[in-house]
Amino acid sequence: MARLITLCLTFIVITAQLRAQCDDFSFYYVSGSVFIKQGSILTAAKKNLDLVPGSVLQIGNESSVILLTGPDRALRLSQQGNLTYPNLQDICRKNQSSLTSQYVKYVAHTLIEKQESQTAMVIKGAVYRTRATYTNSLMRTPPDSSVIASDSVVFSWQQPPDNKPAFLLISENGVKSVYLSPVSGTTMVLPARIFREGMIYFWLISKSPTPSDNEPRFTFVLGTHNWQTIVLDEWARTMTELEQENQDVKKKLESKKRLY
Amino acid sequence: MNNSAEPEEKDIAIRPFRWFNIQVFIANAGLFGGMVLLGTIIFNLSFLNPVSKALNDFNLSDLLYSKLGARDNLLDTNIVLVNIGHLDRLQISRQFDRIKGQQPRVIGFDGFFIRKKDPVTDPLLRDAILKPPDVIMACYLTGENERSGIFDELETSNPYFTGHDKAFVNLGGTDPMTSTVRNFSPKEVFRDDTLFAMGAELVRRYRPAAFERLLARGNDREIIHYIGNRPAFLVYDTYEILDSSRDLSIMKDKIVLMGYMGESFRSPPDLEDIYYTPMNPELAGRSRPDMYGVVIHANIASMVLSGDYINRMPLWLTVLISFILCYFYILLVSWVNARYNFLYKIYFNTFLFLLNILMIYVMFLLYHYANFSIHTGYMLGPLLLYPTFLNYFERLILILHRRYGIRSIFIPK
Repeated sequence: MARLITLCLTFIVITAQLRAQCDDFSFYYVSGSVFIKQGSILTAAKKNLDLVPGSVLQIGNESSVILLTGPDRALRLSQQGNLTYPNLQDICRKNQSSLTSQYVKYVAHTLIEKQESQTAMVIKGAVYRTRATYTNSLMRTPPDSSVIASDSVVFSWQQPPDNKPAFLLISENGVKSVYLSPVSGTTMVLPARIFREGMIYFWLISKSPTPSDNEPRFTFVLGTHNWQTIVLDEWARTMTELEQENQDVKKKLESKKRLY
Repeated sequence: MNNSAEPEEKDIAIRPFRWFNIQVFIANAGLFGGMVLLGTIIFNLSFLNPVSKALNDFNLSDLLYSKLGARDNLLDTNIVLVNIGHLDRLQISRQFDRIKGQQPRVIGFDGFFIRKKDPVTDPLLRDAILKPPDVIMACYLTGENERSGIFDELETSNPYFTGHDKAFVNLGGTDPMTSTVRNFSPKEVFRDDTLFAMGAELVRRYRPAAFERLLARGNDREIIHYIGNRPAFLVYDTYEILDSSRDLSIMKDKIVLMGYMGESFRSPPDLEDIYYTPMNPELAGRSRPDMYGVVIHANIASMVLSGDYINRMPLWLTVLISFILCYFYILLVSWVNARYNFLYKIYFNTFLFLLNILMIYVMFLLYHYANFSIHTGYMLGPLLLYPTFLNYFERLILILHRRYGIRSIFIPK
């Protein structure tokens, strides 16, 4: 009995020590606009600053931060948004989740999940869409073949002509249903986290919860975070170039005016 | 009190002998003999080469790295990786200048400048390499003598570009280009000169105490305890280093490892200096290689720095433990068969399946928490082969029973 108690205590101490690594955060590297909000006070984050429990970390657009969480180990965050102290601890601990839970999940996943075909084409057959299909469709955003880079996906559509209730259906690879809900308005916002990267999602507005194969569907994929960064980088670069061009044109016009 | 304690002690003393059953022992020995025979056939028949190759290249611990080691945001802050892409020599010399300006502790270069190319750029590159701090240049050992294990040749950059500091970039595995890189050799001797692996040499300059620990282990080969692919380190792409507005101060007093990680991080991975590792998302079968050589060296350096080594169970101990475990497994199965024959017939396959899951789990626990690697084949092989073996063994016992009247628990009911 004494051995059992010792073993349990040792296990608890080891687990606690592992989790303790996520109790202290200090800034190691800051890029872009990163702020710490404590109550109503906003402080710019900088190297070697400690993050105090109760504070909120604000990561701006195109910004990233590296927080030290233990000896020689750090946490890299680059997604725009606000993170509370418990959020950070969750992210940190998620990376240290126990082997047991991961193993049980993996075994359960491999046992339970049906081996579905990777594309809809195998089951549904090819659907040939023409430009008219897109223009006549009720669906608006995300347009067909979109790549979603934001944290939320905005689904919008036109009101059906007969004003009858409609259903929003989203399926993974056109096979596995991930969302089905009756809709009354013309927009629906869903968090991007419910979708998986690398999967093709088919969405449609239908009058029936079990639409026929002939009803047109739009597809979208979720971009990876790196992809988002690339797009945002490109976008920022394009905007800078356009502004530069704009200023050059203005200068030229002004110089011409002076000549005249 | 004393009277009541005595029988208990006696009971404990006798119990191990009660568990010994000569028939189970013979069955177990037969099972292991069968396994050795099967192994000999598989590994020696040339037409079964694909099977033996697949078996050699598969290790259950890969599952830990590939599927169960989720740690997306964590990174090692000691090592900074720099992509050299397909930059020309002038651009690489500028990379050296910028990196050296940040005063890293040590720089490793996983690339080769085989010959002189340009009278203008070559001296610039040479100056950039030779000015302090030291750059550990890559070299590659070739022509290994199969018997002695001694290498005949050493490929290096043109001596014009190199100082005295070099480290070999050979990776473990039968053929690193096609098999999984699971281990590395910390040191090799080439013509009386001791050379160290790139990851080890970098740590030797950065934290000598950690390097001493590596040497003190005295292993010819060390299993690489991977912490992750590129996202597990601080990384800079080709253009980021050349961009003078980019803040590189994070490199101060760090290990900087320069090497090829694709044309750029934005381009899809190509097949140059990229290898299969246990972190590959595909556990078996055909797949793309997943990790650039320079990232593997960074993983080695990270492991040596943290002292987070994987210890390998000796083969004799693995076989012994497997034999003992298998003995108790057969004993249990035979007991259930004798006592609850109906249940045994229904649930045997389920029991075998659950036992395998449990065995794998225990091995994972040992690997993950105790850094102890056990050859899974020796543990799971006997369990998986036992049902087939039992069929033949029961028939054999039945024949012996009919002919010589031998009694056995293995006579089918």
